[in-house]
Amino acid sequence: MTSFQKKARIKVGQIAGTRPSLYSNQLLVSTGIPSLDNVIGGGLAVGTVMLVEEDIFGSYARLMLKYFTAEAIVSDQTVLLASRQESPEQLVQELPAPIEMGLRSGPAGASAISPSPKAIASGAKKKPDGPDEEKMKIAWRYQSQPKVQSTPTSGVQFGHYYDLTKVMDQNTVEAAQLFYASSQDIPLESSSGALRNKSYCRLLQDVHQRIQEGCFGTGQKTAKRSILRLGIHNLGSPLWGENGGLNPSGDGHDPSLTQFFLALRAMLRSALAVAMVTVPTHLFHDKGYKRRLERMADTVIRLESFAGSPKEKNPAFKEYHGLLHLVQLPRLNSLIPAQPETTDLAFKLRRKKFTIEKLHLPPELADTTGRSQDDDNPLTSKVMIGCSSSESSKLSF
Amino acid sequence: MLEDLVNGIENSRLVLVTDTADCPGRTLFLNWVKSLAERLDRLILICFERQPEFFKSWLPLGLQNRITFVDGQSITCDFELKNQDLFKVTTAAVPEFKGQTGVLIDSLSLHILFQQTPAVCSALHRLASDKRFSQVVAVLHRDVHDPHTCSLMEHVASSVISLRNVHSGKHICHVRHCRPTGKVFRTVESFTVDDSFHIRNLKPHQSASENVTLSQVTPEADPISQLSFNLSLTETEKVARSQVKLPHLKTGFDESSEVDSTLQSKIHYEADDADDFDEEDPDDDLNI
Repeated sequence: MTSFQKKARIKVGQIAGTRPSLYSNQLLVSTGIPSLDNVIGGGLAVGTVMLVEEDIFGSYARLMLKYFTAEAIVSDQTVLLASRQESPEQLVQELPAPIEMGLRSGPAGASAISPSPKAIASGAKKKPDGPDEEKMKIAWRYQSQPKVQSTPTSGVQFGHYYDLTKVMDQNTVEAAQLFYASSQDIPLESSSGALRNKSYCRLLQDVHQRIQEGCFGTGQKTAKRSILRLGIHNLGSPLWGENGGLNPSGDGHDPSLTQFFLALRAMLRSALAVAMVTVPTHLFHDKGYKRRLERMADTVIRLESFAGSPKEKNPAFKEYHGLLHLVQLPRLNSLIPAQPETTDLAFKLRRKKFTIEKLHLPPELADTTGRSQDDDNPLTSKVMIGCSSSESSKLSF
Repeated sequence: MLEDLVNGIENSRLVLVTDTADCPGRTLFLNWVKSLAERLDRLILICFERQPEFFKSWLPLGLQNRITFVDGQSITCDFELKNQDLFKVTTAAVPEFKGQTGVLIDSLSLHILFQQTPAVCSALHRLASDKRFSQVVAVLHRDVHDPHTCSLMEHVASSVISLRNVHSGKHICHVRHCRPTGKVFRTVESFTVDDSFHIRNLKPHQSASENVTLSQVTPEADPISQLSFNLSLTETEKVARSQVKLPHLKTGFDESSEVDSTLQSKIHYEADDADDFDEEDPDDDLNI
């Protein structure tokens, strides 16, 4: 008799569009942007809240939400969308079309940042005629070896690539399980909600109802497990009745938004659901309020667009459209969060795709002697990873 | 940019003109009313501060019948129906909508004093996103409200024109315009006002400090000039180089060159579906 017992494996492969994390064995879903997944530790853990702090004009955060929704539709998951800035239907009509990766040989989501070289190579390969186009020149002694599938293809593909110039097929969108949160403030029958802001109460109710009806709760029994994705756009803008984090009278803070985040997170922890919430945090003037919001979410990233800012003309950022700050990464089942390769990240919006890249400086041609070492370096920014790091982790060069 | 916005060349759903007591925005607003009245079929002007007669006396007679005036006091003094907001008042003002309609609000400031800022923001947003209205223009007195309120209002607007100061007859304004595609323009422009309050001489403004910085810009660094060896050729060296016969150059094949010129070759390139065409110039960073 041995005390050793084989650990019962949770069958994670059966849920579409998920895979276990390599760091913490948490179940992950993709954000829809594989290069972003790579940076935040493989993807979003199911049951967590991702807070995207919007760029000033909000266009890039909106784009990320579109990717998030498109990924749900492609991997056959349920979506609940909420937006006050526009109707959620409008957002759905602009979803990018997935690129059919029939030629690609499996889920390369975490490692491949740019799929284009492969795609071009395979496209160009078709051109030369003849039946032996697939034949590769390899050393003769390996030719008799059996073919090895280098990447596992058994699971569902994790993370898709999208073409921004095309919109998703209308039939696909209609067939998808899309739900919209009510956009108008319907007076609640019972004013039992603890939140002052009734539109947040309403949204929480919608989320709760969707989890119950769709059997997404971990305690609920259902035949086919699926993931619920919540996409909340522009939360905390005045259109949600939020007065920039202040009370309606303008004195003191309104804790509704932080309470909303706490309630949302508590609700998601016991459900197969994941949320992406974009918040225009630049409207909150109190830094402490922002920090409180960030603590209430699991993954926090901040987008800093160059549009309309002096950095647009800065030669150091010529290649990019904005910076991505990793404000906080979740520590799930571990003491430290997943460590990205670098925290100097930038995003770039190409014609067809949105990518997150390492920030590279352009070649320096001018005299290097006269360079000042002062704080006017545009790259010096305070980046905090996880909740644990000390306050002043200035990047030093 | 401001001229394009006023004349409707650059489309903007919600324009916010912010001014101060030193630099009032009513002249710009009046001109905007005139420009919109000439372009659109119908205007709804919500007057909070000035009486409709003020606008009527300035506008040409032909344009006046296109404008529906709404008394803003009816909203402000509406103590019984507390749900009255800008959106309801505006949509109630016109029985049926035909053609393009614009909404103009002469100073939101009074309205904000009576209503909560988020409510005003969402009413404005509803007006701007309503398909029946093609443009909403509102004035906000920046110095009356705290910066917090102003930033909320500016967040909702797609274009913000903030009048800064009057400098020797020139009105200087900062324009921030965000296109629906996400492209953002920021310009500083100036205009003058003639005796009949018409805006003249709209042009980009260059302040004195900017001129200094422009002159201080160092010329592009020339990497060739700093080399320790010689990369450039003199004229005689170039002539000498052109006369060098390369060892593998074909000579005396005149017929074949004629044949080559008659044959035309083309490159057919079919764009691949997943092709990532990069519109950027690949040699852009070479600085040649």
